[in-house]
Amino acid sequence: MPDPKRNCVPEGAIEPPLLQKETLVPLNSVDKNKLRADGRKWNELRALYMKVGIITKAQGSVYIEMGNTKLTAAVYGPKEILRREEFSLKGKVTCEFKYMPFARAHYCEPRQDFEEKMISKCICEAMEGVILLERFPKAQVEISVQVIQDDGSALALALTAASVALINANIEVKDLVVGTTLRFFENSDVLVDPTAEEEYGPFSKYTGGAGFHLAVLPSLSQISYLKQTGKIEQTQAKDCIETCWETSLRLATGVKNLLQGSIEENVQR
Amino acid sequence: MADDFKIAQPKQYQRLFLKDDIRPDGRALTGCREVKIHVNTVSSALGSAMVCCGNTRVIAGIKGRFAEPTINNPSSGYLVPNMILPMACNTKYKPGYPADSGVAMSNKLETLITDVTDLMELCVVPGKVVWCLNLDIVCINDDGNVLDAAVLALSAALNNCWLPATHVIEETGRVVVDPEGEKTKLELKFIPISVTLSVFDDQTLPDPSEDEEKIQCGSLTCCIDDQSKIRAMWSSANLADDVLSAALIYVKKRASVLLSVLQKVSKTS
Repeated sequence: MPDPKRNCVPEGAIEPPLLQKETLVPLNSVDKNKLRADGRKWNELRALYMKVGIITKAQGSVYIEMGNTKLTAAVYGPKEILRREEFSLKGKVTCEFKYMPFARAHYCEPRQDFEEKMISKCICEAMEGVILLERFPKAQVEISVQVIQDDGSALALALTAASVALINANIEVKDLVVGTTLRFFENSDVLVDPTAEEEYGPFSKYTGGAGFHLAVLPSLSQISYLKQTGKIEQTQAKDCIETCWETSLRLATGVKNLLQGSIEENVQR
Repeated sequence: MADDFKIAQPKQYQRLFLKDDIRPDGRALTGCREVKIHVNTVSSALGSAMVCCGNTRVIAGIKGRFAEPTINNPSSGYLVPNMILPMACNTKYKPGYPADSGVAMSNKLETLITDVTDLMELCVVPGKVVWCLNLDIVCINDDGNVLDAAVLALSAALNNCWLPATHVIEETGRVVVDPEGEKTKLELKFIPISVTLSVFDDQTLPDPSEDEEKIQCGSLTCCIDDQSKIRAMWSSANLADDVLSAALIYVKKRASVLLSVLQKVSKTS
C-alpha cells in the first residue's frame, strides 16, 4: 500500500543479496590472547566519545559514539501530559527508539517496526527504575533515541545515552546507567562489546551461542536491565554476567569522567 | 528581562536589533552561520554526509535496493529522496509519523533532484534489475533553515556515493552484490545548492535562525546549481521586484561559497 506521506520506492524493491564467499567455520581453539578483526582483545571496549547539549530545544541531549556505533539521545520534560487518563502520584516516562534508515546493513523503514518498539519499551522500563518519578507527578518525560549507525551494541549504548541525557536535563535519578553487550559462542569464545559483524553478521565465523545485554547502576551496584538471547548453560551464564558487570563498571568510570568534564565546562560558561 | 521581552513581543525585539544593523544572534544583516560538511560519516551507507549550519545539524544517507524497472524505461533506476524530521530535533514536531513540514520538504527535494543524474547509470540488468537509491535526510537538531542544510547534505552525499559491484550468477540468473568488488562512483550532472532568505518588514535576512523563522513574514528559497542555473524557487512572501533581483544576486554569491566548501571536502575525502 503506497504511503501517501512519503516518496515511496517502487513495489517489490528488495535488499540486494550479498555474494556468499565464506562458509560458516566454527572455531575450535579457546585462546584468550587472540586479537579480533579490529585489533582488540576479547574483553577490550572500543573508544568512547560523548558530547552533551547538542540539541538546542531539548532539556537534555547527548551524542555518543563507541567505535562506529553512533547515536543521539534527547530528553524533553518534565512536561504536561496531554491526555489526562488517570490521576497518578508518579510521573510518566515515554521512550522512542529509532534506527535511521541508513543505520544498519539493511534498510530500516521510517515507521517503527516491532523490534524498535520492543527496544523502546526496554529503555522505558530501565529508566523508570532509575528516575525519581515522585518528583514530578502529573507530568511526563519524553526520551528519544536515534541511532545514526549501528555497528553492534546499540541497545546497551542507548541505555547509557538515555541516562546521560536525563542527567544533562537535570532530572533527578538514582544513579547513572551504563550498559554493555557480550557475545558468547558455542565453542566457549567470549567477546565483549561486539561489532555488528560479530553480533549478528551472517558471514562471521561464529555461529549459535548466546548474547547478553546488561545495564548496571555502578554506585548502587545493582542491575538495571538484563536481556539474554540464545542458548547457554547456567554456570556459563553466571560467568558471562560477571564479565559484563566488570566491563560496565570500567565503562562507568569513563562515562563519569566525560560527564564531569562537560558539567565543569557549562559551569565555567 | 530581555528574555521576557523576547517572549512577549518577539517582533519588536527583532526590530530593535535590526535598527542597529545587527541580528539578535550577533550576525551582520547579510551574515550567514558557519557551515561545516563531513562526508562518509556513516559507513553502512553507500554515501553519507553530515552538515552543521551553526547549530542546525542534518545527516543524509544513501541506501540501495534492487527493484524492477518500469516497462517504459527498462534501464532507468530510481532516486527516492525523503526528509525525516523526528520529534527529537525540536519541540514543534510531535511524536508519530511524519511531520507535515517534512512531507513538504520531501516534495521539494524530489522536484529538485529529478534530473541530477543519468538514471541509466543505475541499471544493473536492463529490463530486470535496477538500483533504487533511498536518499534519506534526517534532522538531528533544528535551529532554523533546515532546508538549506538538507539540500547541501543531499548534494554532498550524492557527490560521494559509491555503488557496489554487482555480479550475475550464470546458473540462476540471480544478481548479487560483491562487497569486495570495485565500486563505481555515481556521476552527477549538476550539484544543487539552496539558499533561503527570510522576509521581515521589507528586509531580507539570509540563513534565518529558528527564532527568526517563527516571526518572519515569508521566505524566499532559491536553488542554484554549480553551472549558475536556477533549478527551483519557492517564495511565500510579498516581494517587490528590486528586492527579488537583489536577493538573486546575493543567492548566487552565497551558493558559490557553499559550493567551494562542498568541493573542498569532496576532494580531500
